[in-house]
Amino acid sequence: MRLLGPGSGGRVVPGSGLNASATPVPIKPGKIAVLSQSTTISAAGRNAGRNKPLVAIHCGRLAAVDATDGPLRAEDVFQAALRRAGWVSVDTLGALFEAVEAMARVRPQRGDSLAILGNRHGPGRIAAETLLRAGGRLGDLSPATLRHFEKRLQTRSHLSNPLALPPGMRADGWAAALSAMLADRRTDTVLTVCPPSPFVASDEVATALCAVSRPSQHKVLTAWIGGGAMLHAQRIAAAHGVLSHDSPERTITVFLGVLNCRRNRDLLIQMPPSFAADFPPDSEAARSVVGEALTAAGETLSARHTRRLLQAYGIVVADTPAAPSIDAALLAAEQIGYPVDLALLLANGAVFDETAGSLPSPAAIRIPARDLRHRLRAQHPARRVTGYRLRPNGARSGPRRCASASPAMPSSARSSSSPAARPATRARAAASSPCRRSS
Amino acid sequence: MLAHDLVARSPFCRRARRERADAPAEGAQPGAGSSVTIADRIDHVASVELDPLHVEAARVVAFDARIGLARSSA
Repeated sequence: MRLLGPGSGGRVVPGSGLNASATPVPIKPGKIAVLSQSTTISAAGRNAGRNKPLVAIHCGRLAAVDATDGPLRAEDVFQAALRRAGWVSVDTLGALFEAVEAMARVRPQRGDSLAILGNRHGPGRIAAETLLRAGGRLGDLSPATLRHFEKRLQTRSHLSNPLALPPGMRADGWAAALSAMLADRRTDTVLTVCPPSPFVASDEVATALCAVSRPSQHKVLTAWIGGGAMLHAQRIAAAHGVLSHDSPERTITVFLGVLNCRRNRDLLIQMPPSFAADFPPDSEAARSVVGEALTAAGETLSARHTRRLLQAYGIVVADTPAAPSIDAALLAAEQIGYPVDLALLLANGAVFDETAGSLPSPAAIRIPARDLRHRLRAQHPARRVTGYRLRPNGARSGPRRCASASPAMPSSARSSSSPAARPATRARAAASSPCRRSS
Repeated sequence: MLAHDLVARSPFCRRARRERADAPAEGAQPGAGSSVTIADRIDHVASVELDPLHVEAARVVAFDARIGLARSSA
Protein backbone atom coordinates (compact mmCIF):
# COMPACT_ATOMS: atom_id res chain seq x y z
CA MET A 1 0.00 0.00 0.00
CA ARG A 2 1.41 3.36 -1.01
CA LEU A 3 1.16 5.93 1.77
CA LEU A 4 3.23 8.77 0.30
CA GLY A 5 4.01 10.00 -3.17
CA PRO A 6 4.86 9.67 -5.89
CA GLY A 7 6.90 12.84 -5.94
CA SER A 8 6.51 13.38 -2.21
CA GLY A 9 9.34 14.64 -0.04
CA GLY A 10 8.15 12.31 2.65
CA ARG A 11 7.02 12.74 6.20
CA VAL A 12 9.22 13.49 9.16
CA VAL A 13 8.07 13.69 12.79
CA PRO A 14 11.26 14.06 14.82
CA GLY A 15 9.41 14.14 18.12
CA SER A 16 8.10 10.63 17.45
CA GLY A 17 11.29 9.34 15.87
CA LEU A 18 9.61 8.99 12.49
CA ASN A 19 11.62 9.78 9.34
CA ALA A 20 9.87 8.47 6.26
CA SER A 21 11.72 10.74 3.88
CA ALA A 22 14.77 10.82 1.64
CA THR A 23 16.36 13.75 3.44
CA PRO A 24 20.03 13.13 4.32
CA VAL A 25 19.93 15.84 6.98
CA PRO A 26 18.89 14.90 10.53
CA ILE A 27 15.88 16.92 11.67
CA LYS A 28 15.76 18.05 15.29
CA PRO A 29 12.51 18.10 17.24
CA GLY A 30 11.06 21.57 17.58
CA LYS A 31 7.98 23.75 17.47
CA ILE A 32 8.03 24.59 13.76
CA ALA A 33 6.21 22.55 11.13
CA VAL A 34 6.99 22.69 7.41
CA LEU A 35 4.40 21.74 4.86
CA SER A 36 5.13 21.66 1.14
CA GLN A 37 2.19 21.40 -1.20
CA SER A 38 1.48 22.71 -4.64
CA THR A 39 -2.30 23.12 -4.47
CA THR A 40 -5.42 23.23 -2.37
CA ILE A 41 -3.96 23.92 1.03
CA SER A 42 -5.89 27.10 1.62
CA ALA A 43 -8.90 25.53 3.33
CA ALA A 44 -6.69 23.54 5.68
CA GLY A 45 -4.45 26.57 6.23
CA ARG A 46 -7.42 28.72 7.10
CA ASN A 47 -8.37 26.35 9.89
CA ALA A 48 -4.80 26.06 11.14
CA GLY A 49 -4.32 29.83 10.94
CA ARG A 50 -6.80 30.36 13.74
CA ASN A 51 -4.39 28.76 16.20
CA LYS A 52 -0.90 28.94 14.69
CA PRO A 53 1.07 31.62 12.89
CA LEU A 54 1.54 30.58 9.27
CA VAL A 55 4.19 31.73 6.81
CA ALA A 56 4.06 30.88 3.11
CA ILE A 57 6.43 31.15 0.19
CA HIS A 58 4.79 30.73 -3.18
CA CYS A 59 6.54 29.89 -6.44
CA GLY A 60 4.08 31.11 -9.01
CA ARG A 61 5.01 34.66 -9.74
CA LEU A 62 7.29 33.94 -12.70
CA ALA A 63 4.47 32.23 -14.53
CA ALA A 64 2.08 35.01 -13.57
CA VAL A 65 4.19 37.80 -15.10
CA ASP A 66 2.82 37.31 -18.60
CA ALA A 67 -0.69 36.38 -17.60
CA THR A 68 -2.09 39.88 -17.22
CA ASP A 69 -4.82 39.85 -19.87
CA GLY A 70 -7.61 38.81 -17.55
CA PRO A 71 -9.24 41.11 -15.05
CA LEU A 72 -7.30 39.42 -12.24
CA ARG A 73 -4.04 37.51 -12.18
CA ALA A 74 -3.99 34.16 -10.48
CA GLU A 75 -1.21 35.46 -8.24
CA ASP A 76 -3.42 38.35 -7.06
CA VAL A 77 -6.15 35.92 -6.16
CA PHE A 78 -3.69 33.62 -4.40
CA GLN A 79 -2.17 36.41 -2.33
CA ALA A 80 -5.58 37.77 -1.34
CA ALA A 81 -6.71 34.29 -0.34
CA LEU A 82 -3.55 33.80 1.75
CA ARG A 83 -4.10 37.06 3.60
CA ARG A 84 -7.72 36.19 4.18
CA ALA A 85 -6.71 32.80 5.53
CA GLY A 86 -4.41 34.47 8.06
CA TRP A 87 -1.10 33.67 6.36
CA VAL A 88 1.95 35.87 5.99
CA SER A 89 3.46 35.61 2.52
CA VAL A 90 7.17 36.10 1.89
CA ASP A 91 9.22 36.19 -1.30
CA THR A 92 12.49 34.45 -0.46
CA LEU A 93 13.71 31.45 1.48
CA GLY A 94 15.81 33.79 3.62
CA ALA A 95 12.74 35.79 4.52
CA LEU A 96 10.90 32.56 5.24
CA PHE A 97 13.46 31.47 7.85
CA GLU A 98 13.60 34.95 9.38
CA ALA A 99 9.83 35.09 9.61
CA VAL A 100 9.65 31.68 11.26
CA GLU A 101 12.32 32.69 13.78
CA ALA A 102 10.45 35.89 14.49
CA MET A 103 7.19 34.03 15.04
CA ALA A 104 8.99 31.89 17.60
CA ARG A 105 10.73 34.74 19.43
CA VAL A 106 8.39 37.72 19.13
CA ARG A 107 4.86 37.86 20.38
CA PRO A 108 2.70 40.28 18.46
CA GLN A 109 1.67 43.12 20.77
CA ARG A 110 -1.75 44.64 20.68
CA GLY A 111 -0.29 47.93 19.54
CA ASP A 112 1.72 48.45 16.38
CA SER A 113 4.12 51.20 17.44
CA LEU A 114 7.86 50.86 17.84
CA ALA A 115 10.12 52.75 20.23
CA ILE A 116 13.79 52.93 19.24
CA LEU A 117 16.71 53.22 21.62
CA GLY A 118 20.22 53.80 20.32
CA ASN A 119 23.48 55.38 21.30
CA ARG A 120 24.22 58.40 19.17
CA HIS A 121 21.59 59.91 16.88
CA GLY A 122 22.51 58.34 13.54
CA PRO A 123 21.65 54.64 13.97
CA GLY A 124 18.35 55.36 15.68
CA ARG A 125 17.28 57.80 12.99
CA ILE A 126 18.23 55.36 10.24
CA ALA A 127 16.09 52.73 11.93
CA ALA A 128 13.20 55.18 12.36
CA GLU A 129 13.28 56.22 8.72
CA THR A 130 13.39 52.59 7.62
CA LEU A 131 10.33 51.91 9.75
CA LEU A 132 8.39 54.87 8.40
CA ARG A 133 9.32 54.11 4.78
CA ALA A 134 7.99 50.60 5.21
CA GLY A 135 4.68 51.86 6.56
CA GLY A 136 5.40 51.28 10.25
CA ARG A 137 4.58 53.62 13.11
CA LEU A 138 6.85 55.26 15.64
CA GLY A 139 5.40 55.36 19.13
CA ASP A 140 5.17 58.41 21.36
CA LEU A 141 6.95 58.28 24.69
CA SER A 142 4.87 59.44 27.63
CA PRO A 143 5.72 62.76 29.34
CA ALA A 144 6.76 60.83 32.47
CA THR A 145 9.26 58.77 30.49
CA LEU A 146 10.65 61.85 28.77
CA ARG A 147 11.05 63.60 32.15
CA HIS A 148 12.84 60.50 33.45
CA PHE A 149 15.34 60.61 30.58
CA GLU A 150 15.81 64.39 30.84
CA LYS A 151 16.76 63.94 34.46
CA ARG A 152 18.90 60.86 33.95
CA LEU A 153 20.72 62.18 30.89
CA GLN A 154 20.99 65.65 32.43
CA THR A 155 19.87 67.36 29.26
CA ARG A 156 17.48 70.15 28.38
CA SER A 157 17.40 69.08 24.74
CA HIS A 158 14.09 68.00 23.30
CA LEU A 159 13.88 64.22 23.62
CA SER A 160 11.69 62.01 21.49
CA ASN A 161 11.47 58.65 19.80
CA PRO A 162 14.01 57.52 18.55
CA LEU A 163 15.87 58.19 21.77
CA ALA A 164 19.62 58.73 21.51
CA LEU A 165 21.80 57.80 24.48
CA PRO A 166 25.22 59.38 24.88
CA PRO A 167 28.02 57.58 23.01
CA GLY A 168 29.79 56.75 26.28
CA MET A 169 26.77 55.05 27.87
CA ARG A 170 27.78 52.07 29.98
CA ALA A 171 26.00 48.73 30.09
CA ASP A 172 24.04 49.59 33.24
CA GLY A 173 22.91 52.82 31.60
CA TRP A 174 21.62 50.86 28.59
CA ALA A 175 19.77 48.55 30.92
CA ALA A 176 18.18 51.42 32.87
CA ALA A 177 17.12 53.14 29.67
CA LEU A 178 15.52 49.98 28.27
CA SER A 179 13.81 49.35 31.58
CA ALA A 180 12.29 52.85 31.54
CA MET A 181 11.05 52.38 27.99
CA LEU A 182 9.48 49.02 28.75
CA ALA A 183 7.74 50.55 31.77
CA ASP A 184 6.08 53.15 29.55
CA ARG A 185 2.47 52.09 28.93
CA ARG A 186 2.57 53.78 25.55
CA THR A 187 5.35 51.49 24.38
CA ASP A 188 4.35 48.41 22.42
CA THR A 189 7.73 47.10 21.25
CA VAL A 190 11.27 48.42 21.76
CA LEU A 191 14.16 48.16 19.32
CA THR A 192 17.68 48.71 20.58
CA VAL A 193 20.30 49.68 18.00
CA CYS A 194 23.86 49.15 19.19
CA PRO A 195 26.92 50.06 17.17
CA PRO A 196 30.44 49.28 18.50
CA SER A 197 31.56 51.61 21.27
CA PRO A 198 35.08 52.33 22.55
CA PHE A 199 33.65 52.89 26.02
CA VAL A 200 31.85 49.62 26.66
CA ALA A 201 32.08 46.03 25.39
CA SER A 202 29.12 45.02 23.29
CA ASP A 203 28.94 41.69 25.13
CA GLU A 204 28.30 43.56 28.37
CA VAL A 205 25.57 45.62 26.74
CA ALA A 206 23.95 42.50 25.35
CA THR A 207 24.00 40.76 28.72
CA ALA A 208 22.60 43.81 30.49
CA LEU A 209 19.82 44.31 27.94
CA CYS A 210 18.84 40.65 28.11
CA ALA A 211 18.67 40.75 31.89
CA VAL A 212 16.27 43.69 31.77
CA SER A 213 14.17 42.30 28.97
CA ARG A 214 13.78 38.83 30.49
CA PRO A 215 10.21 39.34 31.73
CA SER A 216 9.33 41.16 28.51
CA GLN A 217 11.63 39.45 26.04
CA HIS A 218 8.85 39.18 23.48
CA LYS A 219 8.63 42.98 23.38
CA VAL A 220 12.33 43.61 22.71
CA LEU A 221 14.16 43.51 19.38
CA THR A 222 17.88 44.12 19.01
CA ALA A 223 20.07 45.20 16.12
CA TRP A 224 23.86 44.96 16.38
CA ILE A 225 25.64 47.08 13.80
CA GLY A 226 29.27 46.26 13.18
CA GLY A 227 29.47 42.92 11.43
CA GLY A 228 31.77 40.35 13.00
CA ALA A 229 32.67 42.66 15.89
CA MET A 230 29.10 42.45 17.14
CA LEU A 231 28.48 38.80 16.37
CA HIS A 232 29.07 37.63 19.92
CA ALA A 233 26.66 40.17 21.31
CA GLN A 234 24.11 39.07 18.75
CA ARG A 235 24.53 35.45 19.85
CA ILE A 236 24.15 36.37 23.52
CA ALA A 237 20.85 38.06 22.73
CA ALA A 238 19.66 35.11 20.67
CA ALA A 239 20.63 32.70 23.46
CA HIS A 240 18.38 34.67 25.81
CA GLY A 241 15.46 34.37 23.41
CA VAL A 242 15.69 37.97 22.26
CA LEU A 243 15.36 38.49 18.53
CA SER A 244 18.62 39.86 17.16
CA HIS A 245 19.89 40.85 13.74
CA ASP A 246 22.94 42.52 12.31
CA SER A 247 21.09 45.56 10.96
CA PRO A 248 18.08 47.66 11.97
CA GLU A 249 16.64 47.24 8.48
CA ARG A 250 16.36 43.47 8.85
CA THR A 251 14.99 43.76 12.36
CA ILE A 252 12.32 46.20 11.25
CA THR A 253 11.37 43.99 8.31
CA VAL A 254 10.82 41.14 10.75
CA PHE A 255 8.90 43.40 13.14
CA LEU A 256 6.54 44.49 10.37
CA GLY A 257 6.15 40.88 9.27
CA VAL A 258 5.02 39.93 12.76
CA LEU A 259 2.56 42.81 12.76
CA ASN A 260 1.15 41.64 9.42
CA CYS A 261 0.78 38.17 10.85
CA ARG A 262 -1.24 39.52 13.74
CA ARG A 263 -3.41 41.66 11.46
CA ASN A 264 -4.09 38.75 9.13
CA ARG A 265 -5.01 36.49 12.01
CA ASP A 266 -7.26 39.20 13.43
CA LEU A 267 -8.96 39.37 10.05
CA LEU A 268 -9.25 35.61 10.01
CA ILE A 269 -11.11 35.39 13.28
CA GLN A 270 -13.38 38.30 12.46
CA MET A 271 -16.53 37.95 10.46
CA PRO A 272 -15.98 40.80 8.03
CA PRO A 273 -18.88 42.79 6.74
CA SER A 274 -20.02 41.37 3.44
CA PHE A 275 -20.66 44.81 2.07
CA ALA A 276 -19.14 48.24 2.36
CA ALA A 277 -20.97 50.55 4.73
CA ASP A 278 -22.17 52.72 1.87
CA PHE A 279 -23.38 49.77 -0.18
CA PRO A 280 -26.51 48.16 1.25
CA PRO A 281 -27.75 45.71 -1.40
CA ASP A 282 -31.49 45.30 -1.74
CA SER A 283 -31.84 41.55 -2.15
CA GLU A 284 -35.61 41.60 -1.76
CA ALA A 285 -35.95 44.05 -4.63
CA ALA A 286 -33.68 41.87 -6.75
CA ARG A 287 -35.78 38.77 -6.03
CA SER A 288 -38.92 40.69 -6.86
CA VAL A 289 -37.46 41.72 -10.22
CA VAL A 290 -36.50 38.16 -11.08
CA GLY A 291 -39.97 36.98 -10.08
CA GLU A 292 -41.52 39.45 -12.51
CA ALA A 293 -39.07 38.51 -15.25
CA LEU A 294 -39.89 34.83 -14.98
CA THR A 295 -43.42 35.50 -16.15
CA ALA A 296 -42.04 36.69 -19.51
CA ALA A 297 -40.41 34.58 -22.17
CA GLY A 298 -36.68 34.51 -22.84
CA GLU A 299 -33.55 33.36 -21.14
CA THR A 300 -32.23 36.82 -20.32
CA LEU A 301 -33.77 39.64 -18.35
CA SER A 302 -35.21 42.56 -20.28
CA ALA A 303 -33.27 45.82 -20.25
CA ARG A 304 -35.70 47.29 -17.73
CA HIS A 305 -35.48 44.34 -15.38
CA THR A 306 -31.71 44.16 -15.77
CA ARG A 307 -31.39 47.81 -14.82
CA ARG A 308 -33.61 47.39 -11.76
CA LEU A 309 -31.84 44.27 -10.57
CA LEU A 310 -28.35 45.74 -10.92
CA GLN A 311 -29.53 48.95 -9.29
CA ALA A 312 -30.36 46.85 -6.23
CA TYR A 313 -26.65 45.96 -6.07
CA GLY A 314 -25.32 49.47 -6.62
CA ILE A 315 -24.38 48.98 -10.26
CA VAL A 316 -25.14 51.81 -12.67
CA VAL A 317 -26.20 50.81 -16.16
CA ALA A 318 -26.01 53.44 -18.90
CA ASP A 319 -29.28 55.00 -19.89
CA THR A 320 -30.05 53.64 -23.34
CA PRO A 321 -33.17 55.32 -24.73
CA ALA A 322 -35.53 53.25 -26.84
CA ALA A 323 -36.37 54.71 -30.22
CA PRO A 324 -39.61 53.50 -31.84
CA SER A 325 -38.38 54.17 -35.40
CA ILE A 326 -35.14 54.53 -37.28
CA ASP A 327 -35.67 58.30 -37.54
CA ALA A 328 -36.12 58.52 -33.78
CA ALA A 329 -32.96 56.44 -33.44
CA LEU A 330 -31.06 58.99 -35.49
CA LEU A 331 -32.27 61.77 -33.21
CA ALA A 332 -31.25 59.77 -30.14
CA ALA A 333 -27.81 59.15 -31.64
CA GLU A 334 -27.32 62.87 -32.10
CA GLN A 335 -28.10 63.40 -28.43
CA ILE A 336 -25.79 60.61 -27.28
CA GLY A 337 -22.93 61.57 -29.60
CA TYR A 338 -21.21 59.39 -32.19
CA PRO A 339 -20.02 56.67 -32.44
CA VAL A 340 -22.91 54.63 -31.11
CA ASP A 341 -23.91 50.99 -30.81
CA LEU A 342 -27.30 49.88 -32.11
CA ALA A 343 -29.51 47.00 -31.01
CA LEU A 344 -33.00 45.85 -31.91
CA LEU A 345 -35.72 45.89 -29.29
CA LEU A 346 -38.24 43.08 -29.45
CA ALA A 347 -41.63 42.43 -27.90
CA ASN A 348 -41.67 41.84 -24.11
CA GLY A 349 -38.67 44.13 -23.71
CA ALA A 350 -36.20 41.57 -25.06
CA VAL A 351 -33.16 42.60 -27.09
CA PHE A 352 -31.89 40.85 -30.21
CA ASP A 353 -28.63 39.07 -29.47
CA GLU A 354 -26.65 40.81 -32.18
CA THR A 355 -25.70 44.47 -32.17
CA ALA A 356 -24.09 46.88 -34.60
CA GLY A 357 -21.26 48.80 -33.03
CA SER A 358 -19.01 51.77 -33.65
CA LEU A 359 -21.48 53.54 -35.94
CA PRO A 360 -19.87 56.93 -36.61
CA SER A 361 -22.63 58.91 -38.38
CA PRO A 362 -26.34 59.01 -39.30
CA ALA A 363 -25.56 57.53 -42.69
CA ALA A 364 -23.82 54.59 -41.05
CA ILE A 365 -26.86 53.69 -38.94
CA ARG A 366 -29.47 52.85 -41.55
CA ILE A 367 -27.65 50.00 -43.32
CA PRO A 368 -26.60 48.10 -40.17
CA ALA A 369 -30.14 48.54 -38.83
CA ARG A 370 -31.52 46.91 -41.96
CA ASP A 371 -28.94 44.10 -41.75
CA LEU A 372 -29.88 43.43 -38.14
CA ARG A 373 -33.56 43.19 -39.08
CA HIS A 374 -32.70 40.71 -41.85
CA ARG A 375 -30.68 38.62 -39.42
CA LEU A 376 -33.50 38.65 -36.90
CA ARG A 377 -36.00 37.59 -39.54
CA ALA A 378 -33.73 34.76 -40.64
CA GLN A 379 -33.13 33.48 -37.13
CA HIS A 380 -36.48 34.22 -35.47
CA PRO A 381 -39.15 34.73 -38.12
CA ALA A 382 -41.91 35.10 -35.52
CA ARG A 383 -40.28 37.83 -33.49
CA ARG A 384 -41.24 41.43 -34.05
CA VAL A 385 -39.05 44.53 -33.87
CA THR A 386 -40.59 47.16 -31.60
CA GLY A 387 -37.79 49.71 -31.71
CA TYR A 388 -34.11 50.46 -31.52
CA ARG A 389 -31.78 50.83 -28.58
CA LEU A 390 -28.76 53.08 -28.84
CA ARG A 391 -25.93 53.39 -26.43
CA PRO A 392 -22.56 55.13 -26.43
CA ASN A 393 -19.98 53.04 -28.22
CA GLY A 394 -17.68 50.99 -26.05
CA ALA A 395 -15.62 48.01 -27.04
CA ARG A 396 -16.51 44.75 -25.33
CA SER A 397 -13.87 42.65 -23.73
CA GLY A 398 -15.86 39.48 -24.29
CA PRO A 399 -14.94 37.20 -27.20
CA ARG A 400 -18.36 36.90 -28.82
CA ARG A 401 -18.40 38.86 -32.06
CA CYS A 402 -20.05 38.09 -35.35
CA ALA A 403 -18.98 38.77 -38.91
CA SER A 404 -19.08 42.34 -40.09
CA ALA A 405 -22.32 43.66 -41.55
CA SER A 406 -20.58 46.73 -42.92
CA PRO A 407 -16.93 47.73 -43.41
CA ALA A 408 -15.00 47.57 -40.18
CA MET A 409 -14.08 50.89 -38.72
CA PRO A 410 -11.87 51.78 -35.81
CA SER A 411 -13.65 52.88 -32.73
CA SER A 412 -12.66 56.29 -31.53
CA ALA A 413 -12.85 56.79 -27.81
CA ARG A 414 -15.91 58.60 -26.60
CA SER A 415 -15.39 62.10 -25.33
CA SER A 416 -17.23 61.32 -22.13
CA SER A 417 -15.18 58.27 -21.26
CA SER A 418 -12.19 58.54 -19.04
CA PRO A 419 -8.75 58.29 -20.58
CA ALA A 420 -8.20 55.54 -18.04
CA ALA A 421 -10.47 53.24 -19.96
CA ARG A 422 -9.21 54.07 -23.43
CA PRO A 423 -6.04 52.07 -24.06
CA ALA A 424 -7.70 48.68 -23.70
CA THR A 425 -10.91 49.61 -25.44
CA ARG A 426 -9.13 51.14 -28.40
CA ALA A 427 -7.00 48.10 -28.97
CA ARG A 428 -9.93 45.78 -28.86
CA ALA A 429 -12.21 48.00 -30.89
CA ALA A 430 -9.73 48.22 -33.72
CA ALA A 431 -9.79 44.45 -33.99
CA SER A 432 -13.54 44.11 -33.70
CA SER A 433 -16.20 44.43 -36.32
CA PRO A 434 -19.18 46.78 -36.10
CA CYS A 435 -21.57 43.89 -35.84
CA ARG A 436 -21.37 41.44 -33.00
CA ARG A 437 -23.32 38.98 -30.99
CA SER A 438 -23.88 40.28 -27.54
CA SER A 439 -25.29 37.23 -25.91
CA MET B 1 -14.28 43.26 1.05
CA LEU B 2 -12.38 40.52 -0.71
CA ALA B 3 -13.97 41.46 -4.02
CA HIS B 4 -12.92 45.09 -3.52
CA ASP B 5 -9.41 43.98 -2.63
CA LEU B 6 -9.13 41.74 -5.67
CA VAL B 7 -10.56 44.16 -8.18
CA ALA B 8 -8.46 47.03 -6.86
CA ARG B 9 -5.37 44.94 -7.69
CA SER B 10 -6.50 44.07 -11.19
CA PRO B 11 -4.70 45.28 -14.33
CA PHE B 12 -7.74 47.42 -15.12
CA CYS B 13 -7.42 49.34 -11.87
CA ARG B 14 -3.65 49.60 -12.20
CA ARG B 15 -4.14 51.24 -15.59
CA ALA B 16 -6.85 53.48 -14.29
CA ARG B 17 -4.70 54.53 -11.34
CA ARG B 18 -2.25 56.18 -13.72
CA GLU B 19 -5.02 58.52 -14.79
CA ARG B 20 -7.04 59.01 -11.66
CA ALA B 21 -6.07 58.27 -8.11
CA ASP B 22 -9.63 57.42 -7.07
CA ALA B 23 -10.38 55.20 -10.05
CA PRO B 24 -9.54 51.88 -8.37
CA ALA B 25 -12.13 52.27 -5.64
CA GLU B 26 -14.81 53.28 -8.13
CA GLY B 27 -13.86 50.55 -10.54
CA ALA B 28 -14.12 47.99 -7.78
CA GLN B 29 -17.74 48.81 -6.99
CA PRO B 30 -19.38 47.18 -10.04
CA GLY B 31 -17.13 44.15 -9.68
CA ALA B 32 -17.95 43.81 -6.02
CA GLY B 33 -21.64 44.43 -6.71
CA SER B 34 -21.80 41.78 -9.42
CA SER B 35 -20.03 39.27 -7.19
CA VAL B 36 -22.58 39.99 -4.47
CA THR B 37 -25.32 39.46 -7.04
CA ILE B 38 -24.03 35.95 -7.56
CA ALA B 39 -23.15 35.33 -3.93
CA ASP B 40 -26.62 36.40 -2.84
CA ARG B 41 -27.93 33.31 -4.65
CA ILE B 42 -30.92 35.01 -6.17
CA ASP B 43 -32.99 32.12 -7.49
CA HIS B 44 -32.83 31.65 -11.26
CA VAL B 45 -30.00 34.15 -11.89
CA ALA B 46 -27.47 32.09 -13.82
CA SER B 47 -25.07 34.73 -15.12
CA VAL B 48 -24.25 38.43 -14.85
CA GLU B 49 -22.40 40.15 -17.67
CA LEU B 50 -21.30 43.79 -17.55
CA ASP B 51 -19.51 44.58 -20.77
CA PRO B 52 -18.30 47.13 -21.64
CA LEU B 53 -17.68 48.86 -18.32
CA HIS B 54 -16.51 52.45 -18.55
CA VAL B 55 -14.80 54.71 -16.07
CA GLU B 56 -16.29 58.13 -16.63
CA ALA B 57 -15.57 61.46 -15.01
CA ALA B 58 -18.11 61.07 -12.24
CA ARG B 59 -18.93 57.36 -12.11
CA VAL B 60 -18.31 53.86 -13.36
CA VAL B 61 -21.08 52.73 -15.66
CA ALA B 62 -21.96 49.52 -17.46
CA PHE B 63 -22.73 50.35 -21.10
CA ASP B 64 -24.27 46.97 -21.59
CA ALA B 65 -25.54 44.47 -19.08
CA ARG B 66 -27.13 41.08 -19.50
CA ILE B 67 -28.47 38.79 -16.84
CA GLY B 68 -29.06 35.18 -17.79
CA LEU B 69 -31.89 33.16 -16.27
CA ALA B 70 -31.96 29.50 -15.41
CA ARG B 71 -35.64 28.73 -15.23
CA SER B 72 -35.25 25.20 -13.99
CA SER B 73 -33.13 26.03 -10.93
CA ALA B 74 -34.73 26.68 -7.60
